[in-house]
Amino acid sequence: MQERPDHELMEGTRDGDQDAFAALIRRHQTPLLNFFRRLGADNEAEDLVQDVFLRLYRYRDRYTYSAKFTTFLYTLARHVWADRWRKLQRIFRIQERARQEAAARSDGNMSRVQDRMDTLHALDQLPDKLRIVLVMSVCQGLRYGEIGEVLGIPEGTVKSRVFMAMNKLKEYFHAQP
Amino acid sequence: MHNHDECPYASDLPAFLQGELSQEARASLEQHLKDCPACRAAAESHRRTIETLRRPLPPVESRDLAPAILERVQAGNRGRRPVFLRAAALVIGLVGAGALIGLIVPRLGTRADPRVTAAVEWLRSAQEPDGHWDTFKWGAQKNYAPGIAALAVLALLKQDDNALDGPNGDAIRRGLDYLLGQQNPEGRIGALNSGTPYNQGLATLAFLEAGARANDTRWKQAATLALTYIRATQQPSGGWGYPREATDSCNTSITVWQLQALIKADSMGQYGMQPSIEKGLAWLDSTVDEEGRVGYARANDFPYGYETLTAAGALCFLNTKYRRASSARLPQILEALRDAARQTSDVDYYRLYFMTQALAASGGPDTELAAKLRDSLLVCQAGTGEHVGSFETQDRWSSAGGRVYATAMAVLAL
Repeated sequence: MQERPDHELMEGTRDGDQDAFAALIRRHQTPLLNFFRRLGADNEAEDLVQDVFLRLYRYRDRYTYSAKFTTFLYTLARHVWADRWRKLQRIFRIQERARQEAAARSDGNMSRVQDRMDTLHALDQLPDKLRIVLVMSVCQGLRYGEIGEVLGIPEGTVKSRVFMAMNKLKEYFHAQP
Repeated sequence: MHNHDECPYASDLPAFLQGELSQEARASLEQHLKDCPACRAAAESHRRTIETLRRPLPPVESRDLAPAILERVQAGNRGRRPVFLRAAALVIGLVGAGALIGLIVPRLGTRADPRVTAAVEWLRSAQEPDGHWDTFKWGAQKNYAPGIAALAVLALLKQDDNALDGPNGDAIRRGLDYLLGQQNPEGRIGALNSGTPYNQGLATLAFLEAGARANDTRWKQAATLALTYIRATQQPSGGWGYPREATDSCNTSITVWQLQALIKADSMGQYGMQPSIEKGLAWLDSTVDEEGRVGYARANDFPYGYETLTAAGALCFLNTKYRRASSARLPQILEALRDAARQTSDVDYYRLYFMTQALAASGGPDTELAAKLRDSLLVCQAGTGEHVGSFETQDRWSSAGGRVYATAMAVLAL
């Protein structure tokens, strides 16, 4: 049996069909989870995914078939990220300090710290506005035009931000021992 | 030297590799690449970066989020009620919150019991004017000072629904004032050391318990901030551990205090606790073996026996309202708990506290067993002398917590 397309499930959700809403969640929860993890959410990622779907439900009447569903979804995800970013600042600061404490005070754990010099760490080094564009484009597979719509910026800006992000990552990777 | 980034084609390379260029721009760049080794090298470098970024992330435990989200949607719908209904719900909620206080600090110890009264009086008499309990004087380690004060405050709060207005009110307020002074802007209670996770969990519980009984915004704000710190220090695997140890080095003893604080806050209506609770319980569940015994850092890991850990784990699994986050092995855990409780003969305040609370929370026919455990505690109470009413420092953990810990823990278990 063919899977129902997103826009049909969205229409079902609008009409109160909970199975349709659950199917949308199951289809998109893992990509969204990875999206937030790549942005640096880590432990909060699941919470953020839940918030996106709660907003999707709240704003279900605003979705029109003319818009691509992923554009709608990632616009909500972007708002969730922006809202939570402020609240999470404190948490990130604490976590960073805890990491530094762990690295500074323990002798045998440096290899773990080194192990974290991975892609997620590299993405961590980017300013938020570059990271979100790069993650949406390279990792989530959104087209430049779609990202422009989600973020409310021209397509040319998306292109130049991807370029800047790639160059910064190149510097980062080359700087690694 | 030629700066490659100045090449007009350089900024098109990522878009080229992602198929984002127009046909015309693409053809032009392809032609350029034939003649420009620097751009070819840059393109190769970008290609490798893209490949690296697209590698799958380390897998995380994946669960179906739909039920939790649908539950929250329905809860939200139920929340849209007329004002008068919301007011009625608030009243019912407050009454319910009052009942829930009993989950973490049950009022099993009878207020009229002279032995409990004597212990409480000793705790009050041992308090310093600024609200703390002197660790040196009472044989405790300094790094646990906030946690010991929090334990004493919890023991005093337990005595009465209106404890803040009764004879213990002043001591409780001074204890909480001391704890407020220990909180830093990040929410952490006390200096960062090996005592921090215990100090944090216990002080958060004290703020929550006090905040549930009186409308002091300072306690509520302190609790909220302390909970932020608890959530921030949760490890990727879901548990909590000592602050100076390697990432993801978690243990049950520390985790259960953080979980108790989160579960308490959640039961009082604090938003946003659920994901941390569920992750914490999932980690705790990973330490349960086939016989229902809860381990220390992993399954079958019992550096100090399984009894205390199993009781502490059972208490968390029983108290969460998120039943699906509880352990599938809960029946075995409870069986292991009862076995351990039947065999317990020595006095270990920490173990007896968790055992009596877990047996009470299990709702099973365990009253007699719990009563036997409580009776075993009382032989350790000083009946005469200068420390009359307090409990002797004879268990394994008394070297860290001293007489205040022993007495407060005993009161909480009674």
